[in-house]
Amino acid sequence: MSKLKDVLESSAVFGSIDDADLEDLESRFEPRRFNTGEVLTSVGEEAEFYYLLGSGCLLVALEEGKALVMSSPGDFAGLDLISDRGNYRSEVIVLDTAEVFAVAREDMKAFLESGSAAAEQVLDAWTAHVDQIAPFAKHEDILECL
Amino acid sequence: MYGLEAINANNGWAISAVGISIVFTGLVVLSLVISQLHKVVDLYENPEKIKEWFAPKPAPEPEPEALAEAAADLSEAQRDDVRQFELLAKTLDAHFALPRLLHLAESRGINTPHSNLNLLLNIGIVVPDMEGYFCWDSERFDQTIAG
Repeated sequence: MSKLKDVLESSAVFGSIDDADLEDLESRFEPRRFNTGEVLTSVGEEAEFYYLLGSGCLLVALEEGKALVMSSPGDFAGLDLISDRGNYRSEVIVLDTAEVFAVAREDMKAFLESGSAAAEQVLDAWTAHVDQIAPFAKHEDILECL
Repeated sequence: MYGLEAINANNGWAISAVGISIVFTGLVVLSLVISQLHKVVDLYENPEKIKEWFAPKPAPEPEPEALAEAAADLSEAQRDDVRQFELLAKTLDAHFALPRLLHLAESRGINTPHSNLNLLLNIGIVVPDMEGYFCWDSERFDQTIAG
């Protein structure tokens, strides 16, 4: 299993926040392993967790047949990309055995709504990251969609 | 002393030439500034573009040699599976939904559809179009599987 700290530091979303905030964030993630073919999230179900990829490959199936493949450590299947007001809006399917770090949606929501500098950094990094990897999945108000 | 004689005597021609040059240069600079003004307005309206300049670059595309090596490692069974995927992809649009291809592969009973789809992505036969859909790269398929 990859080390969570390394994965967070290499992440385009979480890599920019300082060590103290990173440690606080680390405590919210827990490691999980999913086999090829497993479905992590189904559309319409209550959104309980978001997933930070340690290794493996995930297919994020969005609306209208659009999709995104995540295969780099640090990729984050979360926030408005997969959930909308407490329910999953995307299906996340494992294409290659995945070691992930799960974080409860409520935990991540509380962190982002805290208004801390770290939360602002994560939101800014997330917006820039989604613009880069999936501009077709962009939302105007991320916090509204959690 | 009046007229051309006065102009000649007081460097009038040279002063006129300098004046014209200054005005002309000023107009050229002004037109260049105006022609680029839309970029400044665009940055003002979309400040996140400034952040993009400093954002980490995406991972580089796999080198063709690396893709060829990955393809060379394929077993005959995997090549057969990829050929079956190709038949399915032919039934779809040029820009197709990846979940649809996966669903078709599952329903047609192709072996380990998830792993094989991952394989197709890794060797660059199925590539994203950055609009949320994916394309089948026939050239790469011919190079790596059919050939």
